[in-house]
Amino acid sequence: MNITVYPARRLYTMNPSQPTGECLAVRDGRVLSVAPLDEIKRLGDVVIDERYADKVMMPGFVEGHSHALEGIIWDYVYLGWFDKIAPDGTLWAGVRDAGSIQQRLRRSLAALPVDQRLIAWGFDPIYFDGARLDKRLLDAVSPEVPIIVMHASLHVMTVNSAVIDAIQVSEKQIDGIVRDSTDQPTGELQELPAMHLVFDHYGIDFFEAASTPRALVQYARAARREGITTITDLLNPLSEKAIASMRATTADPDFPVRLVPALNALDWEPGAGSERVRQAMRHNHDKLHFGIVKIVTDGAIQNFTARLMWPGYLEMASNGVWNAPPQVFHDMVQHYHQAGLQLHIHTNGDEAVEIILEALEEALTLWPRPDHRHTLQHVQLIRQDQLRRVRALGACLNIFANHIYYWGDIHRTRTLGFDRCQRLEPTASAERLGIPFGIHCDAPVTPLSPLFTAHCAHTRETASGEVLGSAEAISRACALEAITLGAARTLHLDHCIGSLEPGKWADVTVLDDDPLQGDKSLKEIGVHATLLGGRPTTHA
Amino acid sequence: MRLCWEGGPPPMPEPAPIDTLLLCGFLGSGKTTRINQLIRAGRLRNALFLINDFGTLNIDAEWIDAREDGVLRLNNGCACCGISGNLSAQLTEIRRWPGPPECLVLEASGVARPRPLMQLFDAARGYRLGRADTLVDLSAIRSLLDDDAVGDIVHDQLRDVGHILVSRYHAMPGGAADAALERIKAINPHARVDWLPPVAPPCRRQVSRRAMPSWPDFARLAKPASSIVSRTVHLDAPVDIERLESLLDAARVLLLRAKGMLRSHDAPADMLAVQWTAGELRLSPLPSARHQALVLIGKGEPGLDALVTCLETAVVNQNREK
Repeated sequence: MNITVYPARRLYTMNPSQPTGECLAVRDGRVLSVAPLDEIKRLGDVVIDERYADKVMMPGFVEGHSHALEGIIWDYVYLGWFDKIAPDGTLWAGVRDAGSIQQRLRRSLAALPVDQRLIAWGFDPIYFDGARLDKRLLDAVSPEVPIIVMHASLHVMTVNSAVIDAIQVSEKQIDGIVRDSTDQPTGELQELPAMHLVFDHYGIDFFEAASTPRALVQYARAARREGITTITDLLNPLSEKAIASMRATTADPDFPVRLVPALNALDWEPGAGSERVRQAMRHNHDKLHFGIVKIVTDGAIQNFTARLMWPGYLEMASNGVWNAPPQVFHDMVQHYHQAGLQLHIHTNGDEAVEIILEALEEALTLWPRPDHRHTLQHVQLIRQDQLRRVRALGACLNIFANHIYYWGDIHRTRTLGFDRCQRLEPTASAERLGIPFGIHCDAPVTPLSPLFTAHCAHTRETASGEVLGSAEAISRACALEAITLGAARTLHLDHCIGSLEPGKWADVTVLDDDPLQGDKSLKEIGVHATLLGGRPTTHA
Repeated sequence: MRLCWEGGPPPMPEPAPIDTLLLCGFLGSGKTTRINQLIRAGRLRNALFLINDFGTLNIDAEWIDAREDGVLRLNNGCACCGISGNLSAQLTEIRRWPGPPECLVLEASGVARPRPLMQLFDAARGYRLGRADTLVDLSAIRSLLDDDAVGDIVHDQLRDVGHILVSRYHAMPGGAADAALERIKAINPHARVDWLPPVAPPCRRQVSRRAMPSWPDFARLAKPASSIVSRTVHLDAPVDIERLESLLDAARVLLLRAKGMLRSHDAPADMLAVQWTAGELRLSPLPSARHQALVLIGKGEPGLDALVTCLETAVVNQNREK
């Protein structure tokens, strides 16, 4: 069997015993060697592929927390505040005032087939201080074609008069229907009871669509563009249909990423949920890995729905929300831990972290298990004492590092205040304490881009350019480890991905520039290509 | 302006809306028990029971006819299924079933506030809200209302509805039941309060009529935010299982789990594995075990030490006296 050798300008391995190399030798899809060429030639006949000779190679990026919704949401019109890139590579500029929103909607309307409704997403009202998006603004685009704008939180929408009339909003008595001083609906519909009227009337179901093969292909395409070779869909229904779709899609040799779906535990009775994961695991292969379980405890800080300990929110007297009674989370942790599965637990606020640490302490006291790697996800506000408990439990963290950029300014002024922003996303503390950790993006909430996430963890710059909590900044090298080997550890997959060591899969991200030397910031470094199992990937 | 039908055939008449009963209440308030009572009473025909409490579809087995695609078909013409994540999509789907149910009983999640759900069914196409009930475990309501993490939710569950169904009051001293009821009435003075009859516990073992020792007030020994500690008790004599269960249940406010291996006083030759979680003691044969021991895991040392003392003096040693 021939050995393929890819010489590179430089190769970073993330292997402490052999941190750098000059070329990558691949056989049977695995890393055979990163030694100098003369050494590799001792191992057999080689074919040299020079296409990356002036590039820099790294282990393929591992995205430990994102959602396949990314693969379908771009079917709709993007109205977010920040610039974003769609899976097909199109740059969508952020829209920052009412005129720009209307202009983009008008342009999309012109391309809309007859009898269709116009759906948009990503609008984040927290950036529109004072002015509200309302039906008048949308009616100016069209009073006849139904227009539905989903807000970034997915808990609120704004609609135009065509929708208001079609679903007879004026006649309904629902708290979530926002009305003006004359008792007329403004077009803003909040939470399920009000939004259900729209979903039901127009037959809209975003989450069902996210399970289709087409969505998965788009999702993988977006990941590949950003240098990702393993991607985690961290809230999958694991329905029969979704499993069949993932099996069929990943079986395609050209599918460019390895996929790790997590069961959405809140959709399942625990006994049936663990059984479903076990059944799905029988279908595991090199590019599809079942075995992890997700529990979503609280909401998001920027939506004022994360559960916070004292002193709570700056602008809101009430606390956030639980998605189930805390006892349910506690019991789920016990069940899935006993079932031998790995848990990934969404905990944004420090109160959410607290109840999960208590649950894990009980589970691990009762049923000790070496190297369980249960992972707390997001952990934006985790405290120092809680970090020490995480270490004592042998748990891992996956930290929402790019949140600093997107909502750091808002957190300082409106949700948390200065002090708690110093400890937001505490990557340096995790490193200092030796807690295995990754950093993530949570797409489509924030863009799928490990290099940008690493840049944020390194600089801690907000969108306004302020640096928040410099004591929690990590080095470039540490940030790069967090998007490769660190994330692989949180998925319990570091025996086969995350670093370029002999025997591991030859998953590689090829960069235009050296991320550890030179002046370019991490976010400016271009992703040239990816290799999966030693094979250059293409558009699926 | 709304578009009106002009000319042509008149639109098909909308089917009758699905009459909906909402069952709210915190975890452990007895919603599933209530559903089984409703099924047993047989007054609901062609009803769909929709369960959203993150737990097992705990329907009495005698009523289940078949299980298909996550839906339990019951032998009285009703059906039962769990909410799978997206309630909105599920309500749309149920309305479009070829034979939609005449009646929907929605068991809300333990953290759901009734008001938004009541408004949802008031407004949703194809549904009509018949009634909204909140179930209350009277023995637990005061501590739930005082719980920082969930007290506001429990408050709203009481405030929003027209009917409050009270259960688990039978073992409460009169004063405690009155005080709990006063808390409820202060939150919702207009609700009608109905007292549910006691429910016979599922008979895993013969329910004892024997008097039990008076156990310490474990609630007073429990301290919030105590660290988790464990104690291992080595047993050198068979155990009175009823007393053990009574003691562990009395300590549930601080006891998280108990597990171990022991011999029962009734059948001292057989070794048993014991697993206790709040409200449930499970025993199973464990012939391979040799030594009797019980591991207790709970919050705070004073409470757990008191529990160990009771175990040694009133559950194990009392066997020797006989």
